[in-house]
Parts: sequence; structure tokens; C-alpha cells
Amino acid sequence: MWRAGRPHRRLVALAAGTLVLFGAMAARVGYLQTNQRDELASYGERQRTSSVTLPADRGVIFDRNGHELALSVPKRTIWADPRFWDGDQAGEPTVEQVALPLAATLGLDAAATGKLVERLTPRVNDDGEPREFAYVARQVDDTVAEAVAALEIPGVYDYIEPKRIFPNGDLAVGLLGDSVPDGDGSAGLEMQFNDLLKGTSGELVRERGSGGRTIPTGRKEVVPPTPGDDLVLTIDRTLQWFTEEALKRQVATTSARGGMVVIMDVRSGDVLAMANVRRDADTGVPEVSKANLAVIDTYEPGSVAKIITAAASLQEGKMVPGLRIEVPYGKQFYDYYFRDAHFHGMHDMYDVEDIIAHSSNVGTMLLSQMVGVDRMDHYLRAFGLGERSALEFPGESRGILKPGSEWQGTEKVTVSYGQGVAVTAVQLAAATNVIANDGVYVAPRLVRATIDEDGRQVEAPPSPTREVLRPDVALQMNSVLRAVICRGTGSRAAVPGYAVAGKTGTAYKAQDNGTYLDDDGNKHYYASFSGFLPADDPRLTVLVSIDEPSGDHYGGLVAAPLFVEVAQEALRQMQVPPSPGGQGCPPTPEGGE
Amino acid sequence: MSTALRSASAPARTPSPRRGAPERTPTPPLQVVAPRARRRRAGVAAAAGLLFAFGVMLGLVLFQTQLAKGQARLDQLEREVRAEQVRYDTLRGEVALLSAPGRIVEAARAQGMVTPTEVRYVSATPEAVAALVTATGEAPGLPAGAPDRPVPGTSEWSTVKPIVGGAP
Repeated sequence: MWRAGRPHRRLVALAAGTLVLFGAMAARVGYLQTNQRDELASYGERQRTSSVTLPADRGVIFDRNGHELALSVPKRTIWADPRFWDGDQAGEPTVEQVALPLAATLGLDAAATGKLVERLTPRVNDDGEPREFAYVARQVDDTVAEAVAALEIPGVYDYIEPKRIFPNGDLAVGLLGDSVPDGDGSAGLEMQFNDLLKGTSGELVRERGSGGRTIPTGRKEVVPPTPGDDLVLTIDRTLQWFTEEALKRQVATTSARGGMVVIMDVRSGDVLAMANVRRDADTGVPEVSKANLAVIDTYEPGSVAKIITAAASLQEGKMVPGLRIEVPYGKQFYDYYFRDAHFHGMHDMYDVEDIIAHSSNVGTMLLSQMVGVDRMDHYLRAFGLGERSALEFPGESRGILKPGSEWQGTEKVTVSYGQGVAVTAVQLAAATNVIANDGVYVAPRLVRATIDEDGRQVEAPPSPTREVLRPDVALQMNSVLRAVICRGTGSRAAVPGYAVAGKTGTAYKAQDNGTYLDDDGNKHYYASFSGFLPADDPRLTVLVSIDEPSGDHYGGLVAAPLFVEVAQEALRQMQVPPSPGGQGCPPTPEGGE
Repeated sequence: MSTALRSASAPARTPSPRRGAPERTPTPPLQVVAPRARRRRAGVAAAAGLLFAFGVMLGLVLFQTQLAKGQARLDQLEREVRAEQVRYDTLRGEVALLSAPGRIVEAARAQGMVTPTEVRYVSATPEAVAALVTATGEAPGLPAGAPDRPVPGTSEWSTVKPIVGGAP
């Protein structure tokens, strides 16, 4: 016990005690500032700072006229913190008591409800910490989110998240592709241009006080998100829609398996419409295909490929306009006796125009023999066959075209009329376009421009081009292909008021067993028409291919009428005036398939 | 002069005699001001100091309050900006949905419209074409989305995008 009257000792003791206390505190501070410095600093940082990721807006995909084909709109995503019902405190609800009202509000069926219960069940993460986050429903409408909020379930929250929408429904769905909820493109152009479209996320770091309010003089750092670039396609939304609708009707009418239509601007190579329709396997209803068949599906082009053979014979000087050769109805080539599809005499004299107008296989094979295997191989490739187009579309096929040196037997002549070679629809359209474009191949193009984060529009480079034919040969071929409509197999492709040039094609379809006959011994066909108009001043190239039409299977009967329908709409949309000379056919066309 | 004297209060002086006064009263001896008066002045100075310190602190508090109010207002404005951005994007999506060709055709058919069976072209006279070019500055026949023309419909977006696209 301290006795009164000895203040000095007490003071010394107090000083010593204070010293010890401060010493202990200093030691503790020293320990915390050294051994646990980083951990505590980050803990303190976490306590008072809030970091929020600022998602970048994904770029919009526009059609050529500035109409949105794909864009992101804000939706509410509902999430939950399962720790609120992990049973560690009295009175907490069970996971079922939380999940069932949520499921009822969200309109989930039994299976989805079960999955929701599973998601919301409290559990620990890999690091041993209790899980704090579980999705309840992603990207729902405001009404749904508000209904959930009205349940006032503790631990259930929502936030705004962009959702990719395609306002035109399934329009061009195979072309546009899709994106996953987290924003990355998963197919089609969304995937091909994902790096361009997705932008860069930003971050907001701020010091916050109680209640989450920003501390006025505290640290606040904003790294703004960079929105993705927008894509302006060459596609015309209205024309695309019309083409898809018309194609669906034609597939239904012809009881076909599906079909494709490609519409190109002759000079620029801009693809104005690219329609893909496939009959639904379950319902049998023709629907817009989720796959862009026009660039990934290959088929033998049939007689449309005769355009290349005829052009090659003229370019090589083996034939000249008006020069006639004997084209028999049937002839032996290698080990096979070939006949034309339509009977004619064994000593008929045909010029190139006759051969193409009547779609003579024998005549075309004779032309190809004049050209020779090596040069035929050259021209097929020069017209764009056997190589991927400049589109670089995901999954795009290069088609099937063996080197000429590997052609065996009849293959050396059948490629001349489009059997033994496989193409994509877009390859075939681009090949036809060579004739329309004065002999110059212009690569098809799907992207017209981009719009960067500052709103600046940057034009895409023009499509690469290459000269395939001399202009005079292209002009001769123009005349040859006009004869197909005026007096040949493509009479049903005539468009009132416009001069049309084109070629029909009816090709056997290769079966899985490696032959042209299915297991029941039946043949299946691809019916096509590929042409351009106005032939006197070409503006548009249109390819129509119908996959496995039932009944009539000739391109001139199945594909040509659809060509007329979509070509007329395309001419209207692109404001192409009628040809001054109308259809430009001689007064007495012969016509016929 | 010593430090002690320098810090002392000034000595009190007696009134000086009037000029021309016949008599001088004897001057009282100088004396140090009484400690009581010194204490009072120190108290006043301390009070003034405290008042000043209080005033400064009050000012700081008021300044801080204004900062907090400003920050709260800023937060509120940022929330409003975000809400407007969300509204813009939502409405944009709705416009896109409403302008879809399929929906328009459906709505047109519901109102009794039909697809024309034929298309009739009307030729414009050279005078009409010239008048059109004069009035609009645009050559007829060029489609809206022709390759050599800017993409219509995106010009407004190009203006808006830098505003709504990247702001937090």
C-alpha cells in the first residue's frame, strides 16, 4: 500500500508504469507495422474502399441503313447471399422458404425450382469461406424484378446488367450469331468480331463511410469503361426480312429441306441479304436457320458452274461467239456415257450461247476439254471456288475442289458442269458476280463500317478484287446468260421491266453413303438459280438454292420463281430503275427448262 | 532594455500639465501595472484565442458539411445520370423492337393493308428531277445505304455514344 507523504515514489512508479504501457504499445505498433503491415493495410483498404467494375457497353450491330440488328439493353439480374439462411442464427428462414416464393414469382416449373433450391443452398467455397453469391435469375424485366423485390426477402438483391437483344427476332440469326449472358459472342458475327464489340470494362474505386456514402475528401478513382465499337453491316434489314420470309414460303411450297439466298451488290461486293432456312426436324416448319448455311454448307453447284466453263472457253479463245460445234445428245467421256437432261439431236450444232441456254452437259464437257484440265482448274479457282471468301466467317467452308492434277477419269469433265466440286452459296454468288462486274472478281463483304467509342464512323476497306476475265469476254458472257432467260432454261427468272442474266442449276446431292443415291435408291437435288440484274447495267447479283425440293426439282422451276420475287424486292429497296429496253429479249423467245 | 521590462505592460501616465499652466503638480512615481489587470487581459486574450479556435473549427465543420452535401449531391446526380442512361438504352431497345419489319407488317395487316400484287414505276420528268436536286442537294436514285454515302440513322448515335457509352 502506498503511504501518504511519499509522492516521489508514487510519481516514479506512475512514470515507470506509463513507460511500460507506452513501451508495450510501441512494441505492438511496431509489430503491426512490420509483420502484419500488408495484411492490415489491405484489410483497412477493403473496409473503407469500394471497387465497382463498370461494364463496357457491347457495341451495336447495325444494318446498312442504321437500323439496330443487335444491341444491349439494361436488364435486372437478381442474386442472393445464401449466408442469410445458413442457420447460424435463430429465426433464419430455410432455403426452401426463400426459394419457393422466388420460384413462384419467377414462374419456374418444378425442374427449374429444384435447380434454384440447389443454387441457393448455403455451402462453402473452395477457400473454405461461406459462399456469398448465387444467381436467382439473370437479365429479367423490371416487372419481374420489382415483383421479387416486393417479397422483401432479406439477402436477395438485384443489379443492372446488359442483355443482348435481337429486336428483329430471328432475322439473320445465323449471320449475327449469339452471345452468352456474360457478354462474349458465341457464334456468327458476334463471335467473329467479339474483340471489337465487347469493349473494355472500367473500374470505380472510392472511399466510403458508413451507409456506403462516398467520403467527400476520400480517394475516388474512375477508370471509365471503353464501349465496344459498333458494326455497320452491309445487310439491308428490310430486304433480309423479305428474303427470309419468301424463302420460307418457297421451302414450304416445294416441300424442300431448306434453302439459301444471297444478294450481292455487283460493284462493291456488299452482301445485302443472306438468308438461310431449314425445315425444323420436329415440327416440319421451315424456319430461319441458326447456322449461316450460305457460308458453311457446301453442295455441288450443278449447271450454275457452266458459267465458269463457258467463260473459260471464251477467255482462252477456244470458242468465239457464233462459232458452232457439234453437240450430240449423248457422248462417251472416259468410261461413262453421258446424256443431256433434255433430248436433242445427235448432230446439233451449238454455239456457247446455245450450250448454256439449253444447259447442255455434253456441250459443256466438250468446252472443258478444249480448255484443258489445268486451265479449268485455274478458272475455277479464279472465280473463287476452293478458297474461303474474304468474309472469314466462323466455320466458313472453303468448299471442295481438288487440284486439277488429282482429277480422275470422268471427274475431269464433270467439274465443268458442277458435279465433283462443292461450293458454298456465297462462293457461287461471287462467281456469278464476276460476269456482272465486267470480269472482275470482287470479294463478298459483310461489314461496311465501324463506329468507335467516340462515335467516329470508320469505313471498312473496299473488298479485294482481281481480274478474272477480259471485259469483252464478260460482256459476251452477259449476252450468253441473258439468253438463258430469254430462250433457255431460266425463262421463269424473267423480271418484268428488267433485263436479267443468269443460269439455272440442278445438281445431284451427295449422300452420306458417298453416292448420289440414298439407302432407298432415290436421288436428291439442289435446285439453284444464280443471276444478276439489270443485265444492261448490273447492280444486283442474286443466288437462290433450294435444298432437296420434292416433286419438281429443276432450278428453273423451283429456284427461278423465288429469284424473281426477291430480286423485285431488292430492286425496290435499292431503288434500281427498270431497264430502258425492258427485258431485252428477242421478240420470239423459245423458253423452256 | 531588459526582457522583463519589454514584456511588461506600458506604465500608466498621469495627464501632462496644460501648456502655460502656472503650477505643476508633482508626478507620481512610475509603477508596474497591478497583476490583476494583467490577468484580466490574459483572460481576454485566451478567450479570444478560444473563440478564434472555435470559429476555425466551426468553419472547418461547416466546410466539411458543405463538402459532404456537395458529394451527396454529386452521388445523387451520378445516380440520376445512370438512371437516364438506363432509360435511354431501354427506350432504344423498345424503338428497335417496334420498328422490326415483321412487327410492322403484322400491324399493317391487322389494319387491313395488303401486299401489292404489282409494282408500277412512275418516270419523273427532267424538270422534276432538277427541282428535287435543287431542293435536297441529293441525286435521285441513290439508295439510302449506298456504299458512297454515310450510314443514315447512325449519325445521331455517333453524337450520343461518347456521352452514354463510357461514363460511369
